[in-house]
Amino acid sequence: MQADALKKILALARAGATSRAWEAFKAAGFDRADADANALTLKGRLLKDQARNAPSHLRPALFALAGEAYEHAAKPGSETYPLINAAAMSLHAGESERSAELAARVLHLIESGQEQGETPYWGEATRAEALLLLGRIEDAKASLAHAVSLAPQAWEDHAATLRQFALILSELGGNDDWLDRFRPAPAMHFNGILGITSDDKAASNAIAAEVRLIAPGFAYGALAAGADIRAAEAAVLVGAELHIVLPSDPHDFRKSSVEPLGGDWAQRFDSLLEIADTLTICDKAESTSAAGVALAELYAMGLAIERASQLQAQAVALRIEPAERPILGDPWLHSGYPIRHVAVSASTASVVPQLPAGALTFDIATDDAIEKFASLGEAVAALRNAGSVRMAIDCRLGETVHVQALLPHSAHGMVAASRSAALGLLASGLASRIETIGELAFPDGPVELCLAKLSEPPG
Amino acid sequence: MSGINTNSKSGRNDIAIIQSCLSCGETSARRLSKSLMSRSYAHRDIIAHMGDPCTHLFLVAEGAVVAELFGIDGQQAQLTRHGPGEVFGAYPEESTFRSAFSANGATRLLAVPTTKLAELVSSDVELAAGIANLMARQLDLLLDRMAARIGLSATGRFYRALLQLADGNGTIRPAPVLAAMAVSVHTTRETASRALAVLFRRGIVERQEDALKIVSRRMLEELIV
Repeated sequence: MQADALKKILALARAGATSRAWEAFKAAGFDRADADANALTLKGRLLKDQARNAPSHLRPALFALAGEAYEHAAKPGSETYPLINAAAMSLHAGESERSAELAARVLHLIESGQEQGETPYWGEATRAEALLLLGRIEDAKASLAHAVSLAPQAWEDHAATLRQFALILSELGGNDDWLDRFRPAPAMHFNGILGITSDDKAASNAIAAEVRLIAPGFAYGALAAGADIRAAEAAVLVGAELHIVLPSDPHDFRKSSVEPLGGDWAQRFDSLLEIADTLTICDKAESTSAAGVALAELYAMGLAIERASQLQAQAVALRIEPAERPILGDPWLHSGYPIRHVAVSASTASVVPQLPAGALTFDIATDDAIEKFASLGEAVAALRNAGSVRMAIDCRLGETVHVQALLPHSAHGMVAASRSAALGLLASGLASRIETIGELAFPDGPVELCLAKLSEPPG
Repeated sequence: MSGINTNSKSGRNDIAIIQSCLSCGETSARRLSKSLMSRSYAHRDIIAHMGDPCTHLFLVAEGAVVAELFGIDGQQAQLTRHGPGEVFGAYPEESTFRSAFSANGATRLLAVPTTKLAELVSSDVELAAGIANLMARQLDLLLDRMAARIGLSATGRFYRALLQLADGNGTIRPAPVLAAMAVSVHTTRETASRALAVLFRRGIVERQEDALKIVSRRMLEELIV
């Protein structure tokens, strides 16, 4: 039970609800749990978050308190993790001698073999951090390179180290450009027109060239015949993970958006599905519609931005369309991440299938009302205007409304959102962070639940 | 009904699914498998019409099944949805389907004749306990759905199950059959496979010759959301 409570508080902290997480921590009495290593570690994390958000004159004291909590959390056999954090907190608190003392202790524990770290990566990365805190920058660089070589694809762990190193380097006044070589390749969202013939070499070469320039590590999008399939193929060729998001069951989507375009698109669709790293289907119950396609686009954009943010990588959108096509309606424009274009022309011989319109509805719930909107922007504006303590948002293609059940899971300033709505918020720049907190069971299937921190409104 | 071929890979997988879902030994699972039939359906295939005789109990091995009712006005309404690891159909006696059932995505069911299952349960304590536990878990799921209760995500359930299988040293021996484990935590093999790949990638779990070794229990616990 205690572990569950700590985990819920950690989820709040990860979602950016710093004050709310601290209130929950205190309300559960964990701030007085002086002998519980897990509670003390979390206390350190929460105080560190508070320090980062505090006015500059309050920061040193909060960092010092965070350091104390981490130091108390250290226990024989698992000392390096809390102690390296305590060392970093001491540095931020202005106690450089104490920081060096703790970093030296960590270095000794690792190099003497008394502790090896929780995983091979963390053992070496912790050593690198200790070296950095001791001002041995070149040794720290070599040690971090070694750590990354031990688990080259542990991107989430690399990201945590990069964040920590950037903070330490900013405190030490050092250049942090060298960290960039440890960042993973960008997360790319691809999207483009149908109607390119399957043997259009010029389009194929142009798309492949742009994808090589972006050099994505992760590619997100749908697989409609034409630009999407070509972009996905190009991404696979440069070694990217392929994450497919379809609006409907693959069988339906193939029939509506691939087969009618003829050529060898259907076989290429099947081949890509076969090798995709993940396949997400937005709504299996619904047939492919224009509204479903819009939802799948939002979902895939949100996934790309979420991945980039989790891994400290870049996010980039690839748009493949006629040069004269206006892009003002692209939600990605509001995300703050770059868009790269490839200009192509649709073949006049291609018959682009017309999809049924469908309806994408955004439901919001506050303490006073449940309302529905046809656009995400309007739904978020209504949430902001409501000024409610609790807020929830969902989006749907069908008739079943779930948003009211999401509302009790909202926290102060945080919106309870279904994963699809949360990813839409992220894609449109309407949320700065989202964090998954579990799954809600409904008769028509489970809905993954997130907490979303809304971005500050423009102006 | 001739039973599944327990010598094939898919047959062995099905035995593992039964063991995992019913928490029973291989002997009991093999006994049940003699009366089991695997049935596959494409997306939206009709499995049964409302009012059809129902003579089997079905376990969803892959995909999902949707139960739909038609009102007096002809409007279709979804009654419920059964995902991997859930059962529907007739037990302990044969009956009729109370609603129409159709496949939601590519779906595979393991079907056992109701009368045969009742007979096996009366003579095999492990199977009896397994069916009772399966029904109790499903009742819990149903109540969760009525209350829209928040629970663990699919990957969270998978990670929790891994931790539960580990011994005091963090070793899981023999290494679990992924498809079976996925069904028992109500998720797809693909989701379970992706979740395990993350653990290997980050070095949180290691593959050993015939086992999995949890390298960092704390990091695994942190992923249970």
